[in-house]
Amino acid sequence: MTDQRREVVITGIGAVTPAGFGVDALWARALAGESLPHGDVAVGPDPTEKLTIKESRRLDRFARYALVAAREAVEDAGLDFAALDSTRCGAVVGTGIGGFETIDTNIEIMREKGDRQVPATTVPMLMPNAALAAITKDFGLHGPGHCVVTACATGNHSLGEAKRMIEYGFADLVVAGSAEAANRPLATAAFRAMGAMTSKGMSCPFDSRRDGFVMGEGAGIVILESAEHAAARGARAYATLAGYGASNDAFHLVQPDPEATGAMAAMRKALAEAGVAPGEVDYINAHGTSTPYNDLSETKAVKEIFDSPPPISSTKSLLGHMMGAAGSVEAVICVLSMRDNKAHPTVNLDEPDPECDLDYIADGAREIEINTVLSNSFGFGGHNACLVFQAK
Amino acid sequence: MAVTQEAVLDKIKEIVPKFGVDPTDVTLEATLEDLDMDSLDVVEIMQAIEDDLGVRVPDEDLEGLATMGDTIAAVVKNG
Repeated sequence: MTDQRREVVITGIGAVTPAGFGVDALWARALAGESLPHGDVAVGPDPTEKLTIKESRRLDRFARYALVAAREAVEDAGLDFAALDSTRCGAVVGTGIGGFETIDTNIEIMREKGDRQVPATTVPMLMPNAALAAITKDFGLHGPGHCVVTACATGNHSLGEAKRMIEYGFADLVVAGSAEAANRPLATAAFRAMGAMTSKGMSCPFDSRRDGFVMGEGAGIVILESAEHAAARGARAYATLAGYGASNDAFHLVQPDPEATGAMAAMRKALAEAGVAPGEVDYINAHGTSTPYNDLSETKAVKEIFDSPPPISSTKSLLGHMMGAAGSVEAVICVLSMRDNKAHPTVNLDEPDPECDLDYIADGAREIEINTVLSNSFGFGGHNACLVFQAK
Repeated sequence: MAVTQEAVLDKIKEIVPKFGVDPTDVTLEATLEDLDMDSLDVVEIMQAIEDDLGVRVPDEDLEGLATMGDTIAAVVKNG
């Protein structure tokens, strides 16, 4: 039987990252190969600058990031929802954790002032689907909605599940992406306690000094459409979201399987769905967290799948680990890499780990023809999601 | 001492900027709709009044409030 699934294209991109508001700030920082200041947290710009008081006060910071990024993506795609069938437009907007600031702040209010002073907005602000709710309401999207929560794989799963909605005909257009805002005392203390964050204050993926991630914040949002829908409204398509592969390690709560069986399965599924042979991949956007475990197992997995691995770089070396938002922001990076035929570098890779021996683009941004990209995301819980993008 | 209409109105005017509402728009005749406020906002106003003025308004007295005057009357009644 022939595959009759519909082609899914990306027609708009938006981001809020530690590089600032917008895709242009993100790409400029990435190509410049600018390292983060010393520290274990990289904050984003204040999203309330781009929102009204009314909008901000009902949204946790993660949802504010998401709404700002979504408006950029919608504008970039040249969308006028009033001219579209809103019942055919949906959204998949995930997060790793949800409204951490709301939880953290409102617990203090409860302890200080008692149960009766707990804000009535607590639940609608902390719920992981709050960003989805804000975006669907803002644009009047009456089609399917879904909130994916798979830790650091959330971004890729969100785009992948949105792809499914479109290719199987449940929607024609989906606003897809994810957001994270976990820079709060409880979260940073908890990540430090588990040894996940760097004690050296540096994100240096694949480097022998790596000892954990720098926590980042923000959001990435893309507009996905069926190719016919995009063509019918005369939209520019940046790329095709050609492959999505997902798997679980079912190995350990937070440690990746050192054999990388699950990670390899997700990569292979994504490549197979795209109909792409490993030798056709021009660039890999790594998960590349700067943790000792991930960077080694990811390197091994890539070497296992690719006879001659293509250049690979870590966006997390530039922005920190945006956790639930990471995959979506990296999808934006992948789109820009194909648009400009440029791959951003992995920064802070000055003392290579002899066991991490791929071409990590450690020497500055590189001009290469990029038509096919693989993007990896692996999350706590052992959830893996990989995407393959192809230039239009 | 019972709370007065003026005291409650002043308290509401003090709170509303954080809702993105101009205090000068808060009049006895203004409806929640005029002020672009909803039931969640009313709950927050009542929490602030309970915290600052010590007046607890039972839920049944919060039903069907249309104007700021109605809202204030519900507080004064329970003050």
